[in-house]
This record gives sequence, structure tokens and C-alpha cells, in this order.
Amino acid sequence: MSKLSTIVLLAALMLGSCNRSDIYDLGTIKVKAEGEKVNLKSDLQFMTMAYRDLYGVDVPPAVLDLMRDAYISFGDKALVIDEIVQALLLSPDLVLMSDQVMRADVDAFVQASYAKFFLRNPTVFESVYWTGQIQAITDLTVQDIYYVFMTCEEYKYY
Amino acid sequence: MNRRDFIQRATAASAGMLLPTILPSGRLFAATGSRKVNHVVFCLFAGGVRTLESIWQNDGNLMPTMLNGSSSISSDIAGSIDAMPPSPLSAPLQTQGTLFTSFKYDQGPTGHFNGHVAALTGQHTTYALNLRRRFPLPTIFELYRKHNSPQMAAKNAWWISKSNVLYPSLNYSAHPDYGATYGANHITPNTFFKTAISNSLQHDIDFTSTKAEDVANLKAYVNSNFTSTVTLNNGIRNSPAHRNEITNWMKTVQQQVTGGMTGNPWGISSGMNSDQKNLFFAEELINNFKPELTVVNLSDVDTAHSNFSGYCNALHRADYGVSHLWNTIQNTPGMANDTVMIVMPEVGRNLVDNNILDANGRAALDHTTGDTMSRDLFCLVLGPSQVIAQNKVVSSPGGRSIDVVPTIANLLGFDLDIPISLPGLALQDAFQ
Repeated sequence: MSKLSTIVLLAALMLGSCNRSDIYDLGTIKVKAEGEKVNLKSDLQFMTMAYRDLYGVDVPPAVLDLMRDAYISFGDKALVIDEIVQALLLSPDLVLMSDQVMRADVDAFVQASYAKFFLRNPTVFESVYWTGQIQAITDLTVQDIYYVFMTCEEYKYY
Repeated sequence: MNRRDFIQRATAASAGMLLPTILPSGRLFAATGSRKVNHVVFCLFAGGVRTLESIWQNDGNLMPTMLNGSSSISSDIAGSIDAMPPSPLSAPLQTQGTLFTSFKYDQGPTGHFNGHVAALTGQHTTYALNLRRRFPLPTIFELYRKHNSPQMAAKNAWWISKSNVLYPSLNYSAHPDYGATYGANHITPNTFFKTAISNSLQHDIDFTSTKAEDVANLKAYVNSNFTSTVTLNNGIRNSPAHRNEITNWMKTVQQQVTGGMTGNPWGISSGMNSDQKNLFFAEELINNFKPELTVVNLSDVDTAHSNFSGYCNALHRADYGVSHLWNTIQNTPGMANDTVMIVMPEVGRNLVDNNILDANGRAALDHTTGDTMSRDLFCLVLGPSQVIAQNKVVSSPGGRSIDVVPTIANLLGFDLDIPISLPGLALQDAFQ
């Protein structure tokens, strides 16, 4: 056996003796793809997160009570969620980014919106799609786009 | 005959078999049975009402707009009974229908939830129900929506609950063949239309038609990129068109609320209590949607746990409210003379009091013992004279609260299509 063969064999034995699972054991946690959402937000979670995503602060208890009352009092949950999201977006207390700022850097806005509402980056296709739509639909506002994100299916999961 | 001809002929033949039958009423199709009326309103006169204070008038006629009788209210509690406006009806309600005086909630705990479930499912509830889980057998709403042909939209079935305590979950069951797909629209208007919520929800983002289409397309795109891994429970679902109708109605009522028009629309000098408010909103809903099946409940009489005189006052107010509701139905085009209304408490109250005295020295009443008095009910069935026997009193025992579901099914013509076993029977004594 040549010296080189001996070195290769020893190196292989040393590498093979490393037990990677002892080092990187993740227990029962399943590694998910970026942004993969497998849990449905509870009603309270949805309303709490919606408020925080828009206002950047925890929802005041009185506001949460109001949203909960409205939610419990109506049977068509999709309808009432839509109403609550619209009410949040229309509140005079909400300060949204201006449409001019959005249009000044559409790509950054799309990136930020995905991060804010979906906790992930947009795919290249999503980024291209949204940039194209925002540029093509000239009267599309920040409010309209936030409404789309907050009433879509993905936003109901985490 | 070549293959293409065969397929064309077979398609034509099967299409012929499926052609709808247009009924004289203008409805397409029909359930197996024939309808007696096209609308049913079930008023759960709930909260626990004894026959002693209602039909037997032990403290005088506390329900003068519903029941015959002119006996004066007992002097010791008379000062606690609020004056109501004159009855909107020319004669007591019972003259327009059949009054069952020996009705029974015959099995199960004498609690509000069990009583409601028995009335809305037509099933005995002989065990303590889990309040966090929906009942395993279908409600009248699901039976109605599923077993009409074509199947009925949620907009035709409404559950109007007085409060959010216990009751919102009664719009559909956990039965695997029924459930949310066939549930009723539920609303608790006393909460949903309170001023703070109406103020918050009354305005919508102003989407022009073009903008609405753009937003819908964007949403469809975003949704197409997401595959959910668990089932989303959205409760019952209305079609987009019906959702628009419902939203428009909600906005109208919310604007009435914020405009101060719903504070005391009946002009009651002492104001309206929450039962009456619930009935007022039920009238608004009936006016707008003319549902085929409406269930509305009351509960203010439950103050009887600590205040007997307050209970009698709530009974008096509920009496006025129910007559007001019937008067509205009879003045609603499309509902007038084509509606049967059934009025029944869910449970009674104990014979023996609980020793809590009110300001008049009267002792309060619970409904916990399951004694005979807490199971005795009345049931009033009102409707057009060609359908419902008028001014009739059925005093013989036999009718039970579980009979209401088969009665509604019979009135709306789908009783023969229900595959689930119902222990009750339609109240034939009320029919002409």
C-alpha cells in the first residue's frame, strides 16, 4: 500500500467515525421549508397577529374584546374576518406607508410585505408577478394590497 | 348507431330525466312531501318559563297579547310590571292558532342548553352535554337545507340567538353527513350590532368594480401559491352573491345603530329589554331576507333565579315582543299568510322556590330539579287558517318539545326525506 493510499484510508476512517446525528439531533422537530405553514391560527391568534402586523404593537384588550365579540356573533367566519380586516385597515389610527413611497421602490415593498404578513421572502416568480401588477394597476394602493394579504389563505396559517 | 350518436342520445335522455319540475308556487323541484307553507319561524320563548305563570295565569294574565284572559296581575307584583304599548293585534295570538297546554320537555336535564338542543334537533338529550362540542345529531337547519330539493342556501336559514353564552354553536352539528355545509347563518344581533362594533365595522373599503376585480385576481393568485395542510373551519359559508347581500344588510343596520335609530324603535316608555331588541333585529332580518326557516330565542325570564317579580316582568315583555314579531310577519310581503310561527319555552322551572326573596317578598325559582313543573311547557302554533286550526286549545297530554322538528319538517314538506331517526311526531292536532 502506498503512502498516499494509507493517508486516504486513515482520513476516511476518521471521517466515518464522526457521528453527525449526535451533534445535530433535532429530536421530533421536523425541518420545514422556509415559510412552510402547517398550523391554523386560532381566532384569537389571528386577530392578535393582524393587529400587530398593521400597528406594530400588541392589541389593546378593549380592541381585542371588540373583535372577539364581532367574531363570535356571526356564523360566516370568512365574512366576519373580512369585515374585521377592513375595519383595521380603515381605522384613522392606522398610519400606512404612502402609495408614492410604495411605487418608488416596488421591489422593496413586495419583499417587506411578504416578510410582514407571510414571514418569508417572496419567490422570484412572486416578486416578478407583484412588481408587474403594481406597476400595471396604477390605482392599486397599499391598503388594497394589505387587504389581499390579510384575507388570503396563507395568512390564516402559521 | 355510432358511438357519438349513442352518447348524444344518452345525454339527451338523461337530461330529460333531470329536467326540473316547475311547481305552481314557482319553486323548482320539491322535496318528497308537499309544503303546507313556505316559511316557518320558531320562537324559543326561552329562559325557563313555568306554565303556572304563563298559561295558568297564577299571578294574573302576564301575557295578554298572546293569551286569552283578563285576570288582573297580582297586586304585590303589579308595580314591578312595566307598561307595554297597546297590542299590535286585534285579538290575542292564541285565537290565530292552536295552543297546547300540556306540552312536555320529557327527558334530559332541565337546563337551557339541553332544552335548546332537544328543541332544535328533535332528539332527547338525556346526558350532560359537552358545551365545547357540537351536538352529534343534525339540527333542524341542517335537515332543512340538506333535504330540500334543490338543497337550500344558508341565506334561507337563520339562527338568531339572544346571547353568545352557549348558543352560537347550535347552527349546525358535528354529524359527519351534515355539519357546517348545511348549517344556518347565525347572528347574535344584540352583540354584533352594539354601537362600538357597528361604529368599527360599518364602513368598507371602497372598491370600484374594476378595483374589486383586480383585488379578487390578486387574491386568487396568492391563494394559488399556498396549499393548506389542515382543514380550515370557516363555519358556515354563503355564496359570494349572498355574502354581498348579507353585508349590505349588515351595513344598513349598522348605520341605523350608529344613527341612534335602534335605541327604542318600539317606543316603549321604559325602554326595550334585550329580548325585545333581539326580536326587533329578527324582524329587520325577516323583512330583508324573508328566510324560509328562522329560529329566534329569548332568555330574559331567567332572572327568575334571583328575582321572581323581574321574571314576571320579562314574561310580560316577551309576550309583547312575540306579538310584535307576528304582526311584522303578517305585514311582510312574501311572508304574510304563508308563515307558521311556533312559540315554545325550552324548559319550565321548579315547583319549589329557592328562598331568595325579591323586593316584593316573592321567592325566586331555579330549574334544576327535573320535577314535573320544570318539564311542563306550552306550545303555540300560529298560521294561516287553511293550514293551522284556529282558536283551538289542546289540553290532552302528548305533545313534546322534540315534536317541533318533525312539525317544521312536515310544514316545509321534507319530513319524508329525513334518513335520521326522529323520536318525535308532527303536531297533527294543530293542522287543519
